[in-house]
Amino acid sequence: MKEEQRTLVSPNRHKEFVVTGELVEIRDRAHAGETEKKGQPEDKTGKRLSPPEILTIEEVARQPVDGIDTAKALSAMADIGPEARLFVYRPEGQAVRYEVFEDPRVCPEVHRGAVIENLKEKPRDVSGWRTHDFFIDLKGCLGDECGRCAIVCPENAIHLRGKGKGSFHEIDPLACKGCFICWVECVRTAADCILVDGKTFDPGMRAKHFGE
Amino acid sequence: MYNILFNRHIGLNPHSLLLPEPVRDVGDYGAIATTGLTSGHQGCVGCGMVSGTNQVLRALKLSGKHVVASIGTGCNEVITTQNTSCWGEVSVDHNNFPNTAATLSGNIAALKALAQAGGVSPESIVNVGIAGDGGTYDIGLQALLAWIARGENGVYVCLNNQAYMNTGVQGSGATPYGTDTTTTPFGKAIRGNQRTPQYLLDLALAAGAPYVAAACPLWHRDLMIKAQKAAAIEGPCVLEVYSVCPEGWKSDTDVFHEITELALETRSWILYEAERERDTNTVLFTLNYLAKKYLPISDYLRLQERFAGMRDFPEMVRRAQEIIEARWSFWRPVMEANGIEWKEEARAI
Amino acid sequence: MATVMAGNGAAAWGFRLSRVQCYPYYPITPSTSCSQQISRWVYDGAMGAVTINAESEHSAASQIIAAGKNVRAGTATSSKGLLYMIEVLENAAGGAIPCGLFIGNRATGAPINIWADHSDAYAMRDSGLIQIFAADGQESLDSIIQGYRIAEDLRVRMPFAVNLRGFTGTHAYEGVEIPSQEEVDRYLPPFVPLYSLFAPEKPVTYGAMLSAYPYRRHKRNQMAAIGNAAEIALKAGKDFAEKFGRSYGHFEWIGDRKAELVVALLGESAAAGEVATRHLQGKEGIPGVALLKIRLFSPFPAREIAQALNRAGTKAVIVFDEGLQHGGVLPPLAQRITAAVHLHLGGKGPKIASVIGGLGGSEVRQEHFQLMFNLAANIAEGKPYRPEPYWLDIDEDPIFVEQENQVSPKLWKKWGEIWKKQPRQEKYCAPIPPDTEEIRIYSRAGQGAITSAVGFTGAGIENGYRLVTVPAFGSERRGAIITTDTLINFHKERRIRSFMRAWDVVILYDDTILYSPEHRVLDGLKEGGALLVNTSHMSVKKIRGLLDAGEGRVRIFTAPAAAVSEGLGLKHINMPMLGALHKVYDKVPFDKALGYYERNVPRPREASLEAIRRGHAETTDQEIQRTRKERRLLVSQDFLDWRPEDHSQESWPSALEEVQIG
Repeated sequence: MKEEQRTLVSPNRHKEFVVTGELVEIRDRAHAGETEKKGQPEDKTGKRLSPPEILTIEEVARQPVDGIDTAKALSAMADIGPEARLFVYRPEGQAVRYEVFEDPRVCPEVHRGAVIENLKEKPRDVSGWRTHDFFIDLKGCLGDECGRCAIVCPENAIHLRGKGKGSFHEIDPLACKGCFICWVECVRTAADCILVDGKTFDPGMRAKHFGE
Repeated sequence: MYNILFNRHIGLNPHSLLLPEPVRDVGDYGAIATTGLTSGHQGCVGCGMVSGTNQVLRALKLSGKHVVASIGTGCNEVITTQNTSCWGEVSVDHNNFPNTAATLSGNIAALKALAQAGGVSPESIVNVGIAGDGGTYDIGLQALLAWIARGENGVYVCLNNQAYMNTGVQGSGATPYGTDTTTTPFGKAIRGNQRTPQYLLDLALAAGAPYVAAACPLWHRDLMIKAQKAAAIEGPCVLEVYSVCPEGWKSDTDVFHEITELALETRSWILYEAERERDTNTVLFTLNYLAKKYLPISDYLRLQERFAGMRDFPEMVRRAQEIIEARWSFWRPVMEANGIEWKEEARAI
Repeated sequence: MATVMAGNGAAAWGFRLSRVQCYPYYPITPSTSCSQQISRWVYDGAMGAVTINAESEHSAASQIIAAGKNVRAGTATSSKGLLYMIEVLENAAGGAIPCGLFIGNRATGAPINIWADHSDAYAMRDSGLIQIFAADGQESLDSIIQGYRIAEDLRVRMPFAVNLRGFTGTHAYEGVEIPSQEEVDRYLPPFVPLYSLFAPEKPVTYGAMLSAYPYRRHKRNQMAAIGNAAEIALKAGKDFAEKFGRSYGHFEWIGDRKAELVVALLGESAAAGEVATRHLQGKEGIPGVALLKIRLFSPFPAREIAQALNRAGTKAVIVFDEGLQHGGVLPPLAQRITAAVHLHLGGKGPKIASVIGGLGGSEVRQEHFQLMFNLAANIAEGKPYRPEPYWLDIDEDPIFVEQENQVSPKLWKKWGEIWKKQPRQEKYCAPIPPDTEEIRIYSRAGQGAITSAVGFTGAGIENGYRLVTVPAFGSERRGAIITTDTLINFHKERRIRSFMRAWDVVILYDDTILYSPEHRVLDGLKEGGALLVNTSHMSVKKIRGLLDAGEGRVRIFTAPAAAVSEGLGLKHINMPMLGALHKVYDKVPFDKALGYYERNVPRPREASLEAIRRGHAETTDQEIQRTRKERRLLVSQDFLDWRPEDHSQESWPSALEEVQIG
């Protein structure tokens, strides 16, 4: 008995979803969506928020702040002393608000609300964690054609150097904790080019992971 | 309740019923320009959870949007923010243990309010909530289900390592049957965890999520497609990531691959996704990975000492196998449609 | 021009005028109608906030803490709801997030109790929030606007909570001045996030895990920031006075400048205290008295309070707490004042005694303050007093005991020596002659008594008097007999919002209430006061007979309100009864009130107005022809859907619509 077919409602421009019974077949759509696609250029830039700046007296003295009376602000800051801060808010380039205030912090190195500015942080050196050293043999590495070790690495320790032919991966010795995940990945699916303590062949590990 | 349909094709698919365009397929090979967490975090050697987090963040960044992560207390938060932050370009809002989804909800509302005021384009931001299985299955479930029910636009990622690892391996709602944890020890009278785990994605679908998916970092291509889909699909999408935990699972730190593969081959972790067509209230299930070997559950128990106790009790192993078979039987129509022989019992090795 | 509204409505206006951008809510008595009002505005498009229908207070608090990093956020809660929030509230303070809370103060149980005290506010006092206590709706509105100004100040950046006593504050309808949006915008600058999550060029991490060294340094910073709030609050209050004409400080000193005897307290109960203080002021043989009404509870202005007591030459302070500190030495406010006096005045400071009262909705009345001043006077004279809290209004453990057999031997053994030396002094405790007039309505819940009382309040306020209407509230119980009380204060300059419980008029919305064994309607009615009954079939004589009251005891009026309403097709009898009230009580002139009703009556307006007029015309104290048997009215759906919280405001919009969000 032949079951009736229907199509699921879908905005997908490339595929259609045809239902027979409880099964769905995903097929290429006849090129209906093509013209529509061209007509809609995607705009993902959008408006982005700029955070306010909080400047110390030294910073203001070094460089005048656009759009505000810097001299007046500096004199107000001088009255307060080293705890003085200048708050400038320029959501769209223009200074819509500025204010001199006394920083309430007693311990100045801890941010307000213990907030951390991510990009100012330096990664911690965790090289002491590992018991073996890992290197990538540049000659064997497939570079940007592969990248599997970098994707599975839990430490973000593997970085691509260069571009295209001649590119290669490198292990950051400060970041690697020596978990063997990249090594197994490389042996299993790629070029077997990661050296452990300078050796390509570790019979114990190979026997454990690959039965060799 | 919803109507269930099955995708006839088994395998990963960058296309979605709910999206006009396919998401980016990063492929099995090829460098990915975006990065995840920065190095220097305090995670265990061989942590699968961080690998998963990295891949999720890398996938979300592929669209060029600014990622705002609302994170719950747990390993993920504790290891990345100890007196520093390993989140790089991702803005992070850690609130508390039980309220990851509520924090996510607050950030979504703030974005909406800022967009109303014209301060920021909502398209330039992707809001993601990240929590562990304890903060999701147990203490955070109320906030999570309410967030899904309100239909807010965001992604929720549950990094499932099947117990409270951050606090010393206590049993959670996601802990498998028979597991030895510090609160469900394998004792003489009671042998390990007696409850069967809940399934988060079932709960999320019942609450009305438009897209749910289970992934694992070993299959990074699949995970990254799913993360991108979850970000692109309008509404509250839930992603669950299998997270190998050498500490809590009492396994070697270098067997990330072996454990994940065994989980897939024994079908104790199923890679699948489900998307909801709202008008007809139909959920389309896609199986993304088919076990090649159909290994018995006893093989999965082998590498992890948390199962050491139950290995010696055939009836417990059998029970664990039954749980898997019962769950797997859901996929029977897909198997049959693909001409794959249905095996009730795993073949013994 | 003041608009009549309840304390919750005023708080909602506070949030609206502050242009709150994110308002998650989870309802809990008695702060519910604040959130209801805001959702109504947002759903009608009158207020441009993003609301979240949260599934718990815990999530609502999490949401304001998350959203408060980028936009102005606020919510309202009470009691257990606040306790449920406490788990996350510390994150707001620790993360320097200036979000706002309005708290309708309520007991925290067990036993469960939905009425007012300060237990919830006391429970959160170590959560790091700025805590302001408001005494009425107007103060709540003003304090929320000031709260955001203080909280968002760059020297502070801390969350704040505005507290208002449940029911007697949150549900008291009175005249509230609503400032214009433009004025508030000039006072309160727009929200600026210090560290935004949505700024891609400066990604930040909130809630990082700090180890001991940075943690303790962070906490030191946090204390410095909340400490700044005291000074900023003074400045904000002063600016507010300049712009809006209502001044606010850390505390209000009510009474004599030189006051030997002081009663200190937080919040709304000051209304009754004020009446007692004014009464005792200048009385023969009584030294200077004052009420210290503290507004800023956290950060506690210890030095300022100690200095004020010192300046006034205070000899004894009674600290009145509406909450406990279980197992503590003194309840929270007493403890703070004791510490302040000890630290800043040392041995020169006044003696301090603690009194606990007002728990779980217990009335705090004028005579209670008379007792407290009496106690203060005794202490000032050098009499011994308890080194632990006194209890207010506990019959078995009173403040003064005349005879030993009044209390149990056990208590007498403990406190007998003190009781013997502590006399109850008539000059303090003599009854206060009423200075206000008061009306009590007995009605069945759902009859619209609150709506009519609120309408009467509005008309009275428009005529230049100060009126307050306080409905009795409890659990939902349609059909039960409830009371609605209105106070009319003819002193334009004096704030009196505390009832003497001596009624000039008692109104029964249903003649069957006369038969209720639970209600003795003549209780509290002044000699020669008026009783107004809605009845079509009961004669004045019969009512007099039923009550067994002579002509001199009570003047009795009847109004055929049901018949009037039925004739006009109205489902409620409250409009004719409103007209009837004017007939019985003419201090608020009917012709002037009609002007107010013409603009403000509930729909259908014409019929309602006509009902008021007819109710007024047909009310009589004469015998009437018995027309027919009582008939029950058909009950319509909107009658059943009626909620005092939303309708009483909507039905009496008066100036509400004039204030537009720009």
